Order: sequence, then C-alpha cells, then structure tokens
Amino acid sequence: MDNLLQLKNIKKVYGTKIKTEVLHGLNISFKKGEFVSIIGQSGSGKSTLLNIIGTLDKPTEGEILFKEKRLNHMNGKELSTFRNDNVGFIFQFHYLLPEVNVLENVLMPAWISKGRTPSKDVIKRAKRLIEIVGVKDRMYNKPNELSGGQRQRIAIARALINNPALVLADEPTGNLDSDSTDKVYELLRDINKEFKSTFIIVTHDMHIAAKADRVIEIKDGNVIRDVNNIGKNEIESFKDFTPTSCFLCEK
Amino acid sequence: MPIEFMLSWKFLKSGKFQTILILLGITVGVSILVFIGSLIDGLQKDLINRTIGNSPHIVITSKTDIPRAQIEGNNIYKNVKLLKANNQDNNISSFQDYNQLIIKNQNVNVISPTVTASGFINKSKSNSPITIKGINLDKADKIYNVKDRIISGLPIISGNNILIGKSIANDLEIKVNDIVTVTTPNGNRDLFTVSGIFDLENESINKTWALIEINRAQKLLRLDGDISSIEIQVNEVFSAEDTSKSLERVLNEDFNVESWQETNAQILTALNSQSSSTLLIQVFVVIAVTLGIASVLAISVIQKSRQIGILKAMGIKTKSASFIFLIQGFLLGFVGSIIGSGFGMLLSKLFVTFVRQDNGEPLFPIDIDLKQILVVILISTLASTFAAIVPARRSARLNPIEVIRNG
Repeated sequence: MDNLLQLKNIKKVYGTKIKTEVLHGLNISFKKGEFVSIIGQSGSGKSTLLNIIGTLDKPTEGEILFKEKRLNHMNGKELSTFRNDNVGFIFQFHYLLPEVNVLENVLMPAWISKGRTPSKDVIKRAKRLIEIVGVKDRMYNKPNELSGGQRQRIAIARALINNPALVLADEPTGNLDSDSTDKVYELLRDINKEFKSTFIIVTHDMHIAAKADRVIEIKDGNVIRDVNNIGKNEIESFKDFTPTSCFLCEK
Repeated sequence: MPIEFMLSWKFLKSGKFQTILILLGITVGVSILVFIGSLIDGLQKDLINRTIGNSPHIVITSKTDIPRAQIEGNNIYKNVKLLKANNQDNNISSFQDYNQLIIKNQNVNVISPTVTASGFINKSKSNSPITIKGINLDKADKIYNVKDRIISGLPIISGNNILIGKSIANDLEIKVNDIVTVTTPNGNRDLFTVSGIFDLENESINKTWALIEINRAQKLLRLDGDISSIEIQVNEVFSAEDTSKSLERVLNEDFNVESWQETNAQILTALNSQSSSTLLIQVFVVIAVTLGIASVLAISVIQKSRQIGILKAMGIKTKSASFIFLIQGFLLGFVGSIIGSGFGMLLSKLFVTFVRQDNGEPLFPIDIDLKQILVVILISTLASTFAAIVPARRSARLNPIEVIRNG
C-alpha cells in the first residue's frame, strides 16, 4: 500500500512567553485505506496531532506530505480547498448545523466545494449515504429531532459526501452509550471497506482502539507504541491494550 | 443557490426573534425617515408655493425708479424711461434686445414683459382701487396660471377685454360681459369689457388685479413702448438666485434684477434651518438603526460561532464566512427599509387624512417623493450592510480550532 500521508518531525509548541511543547517531533506514515486509531491519555497531544493532520492547526516545526505534496506552505484559502476536497471530519460533538435539515447537513461540504446548490447526482449520493448510515426516515428532519447516535451517523455521512481520501474522527463515540458506540464503530469499519478511505480515529476507548488495523499510542507528545493488529484475533489485541480491565478477556 | 446566501437565509430564519427585532428596528427607523422627509418636504413646498406661487421667480426693473406722473410733469425727466424700447410701435418685439440677452440663460423658462400701474375701476357709481397689469396672457399664464383659474367667463384680454379678480367682481357686483371704466392716476380712462373673472387663491390679488393686454396698457398709460418690468419664470426654482446674478452681469447697470429668494430671504432662512435640523434628525436615526443592527448581528456571530467554526473546518473560505453576515445585513436592510417605507407612506397618508384644519382641509399636502424614498431605501440598505462589517470581520477571524477544542 502507498503512503497517503507522511508526518516528518512534527513539533507543536503552544504559548509565546511560557512555551509548552505538546508534540516532540513525531514521524508517522499513514497508508491508503488504513484504519488507524490513536490512543493516549487526555493531554497526551493526540487531539493536537489530529488537528495538525486535518490542517486545522499548523505544526511549529516539521512537515506534512499528503500524496507527496507538502501542505506546510499553503495559505488559508488553499488549505480550505484542500480540507474540503480531501478530508472528512467527524467530531466528538456532532456539530451538525441546527438551522438546516439532515439532507442539507450532509450536503454541506459539497455545497461548500461547489459554492452553490449541489447537482442532482450529489444529492442522490447524499441520500444513499444517509441510507447507509441508517437514518433514511429522518432525511428532512432538523438535527435536534434526532437521537445522539443518529446525529453522529449523520455527521459520518457528511464527512463522506465529498469522497475524501482521509477521514479524521476525534472521539466519535465519546458522547454515545455503548450500544450506539458499537453501531457507529461497525459503520465506520464498513465504510472504510466500501469507500477505501483512510480512517484516523482518536479515542480513549480501548475496545474501539483494539478493533483497528493499527493502534498508535501517544504519551506526553511522543509515540510510545505503534502496533499492527492485522492477523491478530480480537482477544489478543484486547489483551495488549487492556490487560487489567477487559470484560471480553475474561470470557 | 450560492452557499453564502443559503446560509444567511437559514441563519436569519432560525433566529426568528432576533430577525424580527432587527426588522422592527429598521422598519421603525425608515418609516420615521420617510414620514419626516415627506412631512417637511410637503410643508416646505407648500410654504414656497404660497410664497412664490403667485409671483415671478425673477423680476427685472429699471433702477431709475421715478413715478410716471413725475416724469411727465417735469421736462428734466422727459427722456427717462422705465425700460426703454427701441421703437414706438408698442410691440413686444421692441423688447427683443433684452429678450435675446435673457433667453440665453439656460435656466430661464418664461419671459413675460409687464406693465404695472395703479388705477381705479368703476361700474355704475361704485369704484375700487386696482392694480392694472398689462401682460401677454400666454406668457404671464405660465407664471400665474390664470387661464385654469378663471371661475367664470373666458381667458381673453385682447382688444378691450379685461380680466378681474373674484373679490373686485364681488365688491362691485360685476358680471362677465359687463362694461367697466378703468381710470389711471393721471386721468386717462377707457372702457373695457369684462371677459372673465379669476380666483388666484390670494385675497390681495383677487381684490386688486385687473389684467389687460400689454399694448393696451401701454396706450392707456401713455407709455409709448415702455414696460415696467420683465418677469421671469425659471426651470430650477432654487437656482433662481444664481440665474438672477448671471442676468445682472449680462444686462447693463440700469437694471435691478431680483430673485424670489432675495425678496423672501427670511422665509428661506427659516426653511434652511428647518431642512438642516431635519437632516440632523435623519442622520441620527440612521446612526441609531445602524448601531442596533451592528450589535444584534455581533451577538448573532457569537451565537453562530460553532456553526462558522465547523463550516471552516469543512473548508468554507474566509471570504464566504464573512459574506454570510454581510448578506444578512443587506437582506435585513433591504427588506426592513421597504417595509419601513410602506409604513412611512401609510403614516403620511394617515396624517393627511386625520390631521385637518378647522374647515376640514388638510393642513398642507404631504409630498411623497418616490425618488426620495428610493434614496432612503438605498441609504438604509447600505447602512445596514455597513453595520454587518464588524460581525463579518469577526466571523472571518474565527478559528475553527477554538470551537472544536472548547465544544
């Protein structure tokens, strides 16, 4: 598999007077179609890393290559276009626009890229995505008429509308009960298989992390583990990450 | 639909209460602008009409202001004429020289040579002092609008026909086709047939004016070809002053050129200060409305910062993000000022309908000037778009990271 994304010596420093280095020179590559989870305690720098990958934040040092193209020197306008074309975001809070209905929310990235009402084909695609995430009967409802799980599914459909090469998810199930969590996770996996997008998921939920192809653990701004799960069975990977408190392991 | 338009529309629709609040503010502001504007305009036009409706905009007279009787009684003044004509045939064409000079001025619309003298009119045994005005009816009509205001008879003054004011006719019980005698101060008298009676809606005019053909007046007054004044109507009423100054330069020093502004300087000062205080009120209304819109939109940006942040994360351009608020300002201003104009006009209509004089007539006609309303709409729309600049810049500066990090 080719590299989709390469991070080279990424450093991030916050503050001007009192400097806090959050990331200490990370080197990570992500392959096309990979399903990666990033774990770590809060404050470890995993969200900062995700924001830098998504070009929402700029690294203090180091460079990012996306399909061999450097992103560091792009201006705000070019980055906006880049994000719109290549990156789908799923956040912990769904961040759907409460003012527009489900279908319009899903269409929003396409609407942004075209600048005006999307074509019929795109609308068809949006409807199909809504069907895939299983909220078909709520197509014309406003987000506040949906359950938390449904909203997050819509956010997933929205992240996929422009067929991005990269989908970034920050605690996508952090706000959901365990039933919805499993469903959303299954959905992400299915979509990963069907659309061949690269998924990078930040989570502190070990059960989710263990099911990914690859798990990267970050601690105090350094990568302390980068584990490939392909070929291992689920129990094995669970044991790796949750040695003490895994309810599945006790089965 | 462009995305900026779609989003600003959806944002306005979702924040119904705020939208209605702003619209209400703009509506009230604009209706006051329109109402005050048309009220003051109507008032001023009415005042000016009353002032200059029955008088020429510019009057040219001779500086040698000597009564005719004196001139004729004393040989020294024999050659002093009021406005000297070139020949003796008592024709208007004898004034062509002046005519040529005056008509070159672009603003001049009507030139009406006039002979004015005092005299007496009598019928049977009763008589009444009058002002004899010798005119060319077609030209003078453009200044005084006599023909339309004939209340009985016909607007004819040729030959020995005479037109008299309503009050003279009432006082002396004169009817159309009656024969009357007109006597000048120096004793010349002639018989005239009353062809019509006019009502110029001004008591002093109705009570004194008697209109005859200018040639006839010159003969009656033994004026040879002289006239007493040239009355001028201009196109742009308010530039009469400038026109009068430039005519003064063109004509020689023997002439007095006086515009209606000079004659009515006091009224004009009053009107001017009224206009500037109206303008001041209007400016402050616009400022107040603009500030109101700016503050509500500024709040709305903060309320929508989560949406703006997420849209930016999804790749909306900074320019589009600020356009959303500019468009909101524009839409609010445009719709609000149209509704406001409607209300303003309604208010004006109500004012005319309900605020009346004792005799049931409206106080004065309110002047609804469509051009002025368009200007008001334009200014309000611009002001409200302008008010959206601060929120728009705020929206442009908003960093998606902050929103995402802080939830």
